[in-house]
Amino acid sequence: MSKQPYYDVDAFLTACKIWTRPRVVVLKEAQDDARNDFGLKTSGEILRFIANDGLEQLEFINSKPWEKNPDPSRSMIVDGYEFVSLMKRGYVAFMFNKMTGYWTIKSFHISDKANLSFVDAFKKAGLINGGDHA
Amino acid sequence: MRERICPVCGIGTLEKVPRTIMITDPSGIEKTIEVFEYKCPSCDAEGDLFGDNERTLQKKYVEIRADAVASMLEEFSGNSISYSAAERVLGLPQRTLSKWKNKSVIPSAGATALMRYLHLFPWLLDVADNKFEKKGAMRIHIAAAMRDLCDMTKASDVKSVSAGIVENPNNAFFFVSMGKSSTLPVQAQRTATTPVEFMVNPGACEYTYET
Repeated sequence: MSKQPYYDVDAFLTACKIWTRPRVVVLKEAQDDARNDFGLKTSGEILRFIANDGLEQLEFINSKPWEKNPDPSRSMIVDGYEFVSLMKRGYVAFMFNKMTGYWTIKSFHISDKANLSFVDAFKKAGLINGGDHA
Repeated sequence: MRERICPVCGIGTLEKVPRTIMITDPSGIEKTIEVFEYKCPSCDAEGDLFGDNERTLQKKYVEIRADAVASMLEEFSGNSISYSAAERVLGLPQRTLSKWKNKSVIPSAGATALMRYLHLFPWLLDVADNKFEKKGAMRIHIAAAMRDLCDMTKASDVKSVSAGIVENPNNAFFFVSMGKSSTLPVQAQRTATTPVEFMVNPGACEYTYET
C-alpha cells in the first residue's frame, strides 16, 4: 500500500470535465452507492459533480493494486481519496488504463471512517474533546 | 452489432445485460426502469459504462419528480393552503401550482426543491409573506420549532405545554413545561414547578409559546 498517489489527481479531474468524448466510466457499484449516499442519480451527474469541484478537501488515502486485474503482467493501481461535501465525508477510488485511455471510478460512497464532518466541526470549535483541541 | 472492448481492463469483450433499476424519490414514490448495461467477463466490470442510459434515467426522474410535486400539492389542498395565496407570496405566476398539480407543466429541479421545503416546513410561506424579513423569519421559525417540540414531547396525560427561552444577563435556558393539571393556567403551573435555579429576575427576557 503506497503512501503517495499513483496518479496526478488533476489529470483525473480534468478528464471528468470533457463532455464531448467522455473517457471516464463509472462502475455499477460506485453508481449505486453515489445514488444512495449522495443523490447523484446517473454517471453523468457524478462526472458533472466532480467537474464542478464537488470533491472538496480531497485527501489522499492510499494506492492499491486493482484486485480484479485480469492481466497481472500489467499492473493497475487504484488511488483512493476522501472528500467532503457539506456534512458528508465521502470516499472515491479511481484508476486509469493506459491501454484504453479510460479512467474508471471504482468506488464512490460515504467514507468508512463514518460521517465525521460534523464531529470535526465541533472539535475545531473546541466544543467537544479530541482532535486538535483535545 | 460492433463488439465493444471493456474500457476498464482493455481485455474482455463486453456483454450486454438487462437490468432493472429501482428509482426512488424522497417523497416515497418508487418506479422501476428496465435498461441494458455492460458486463466484462474478464474483469467483472459492470455498469452503464458509456452513459447510454443517461437520457432514459433522467426522463424517468423527471416523471417521478412531477408525481412527487403533484402529491405534495394534493396535501397542500388537504391542509387548506390556497394555491393563489402561495403563488402570491412566492412571486409565482398565478395557476403555476395548479399546472404542476395536474402535470400540464413539469416543475424544474429548483421548483421541486422549493416544494419539498414547503411540504416539510409550511411556515416558510409565512416567512415569504413577510417579504423574507430576517427578524420576522426567525420569530416564525422559532415559534414553529417550539410548536413541533411541544407536539413531540406531549405525553397522553399532559393537559398543556409551554416552551420557551428564559434569558438573564448570565444564562439562557430553553425549557419545555408540561402541565398535567388543568386547574391552573399554564403560566401559573410553570411558575409553580420551575426549579429555583431557573427562576429569573423581573425584567429578564422571556419568550414563550403555549399550546
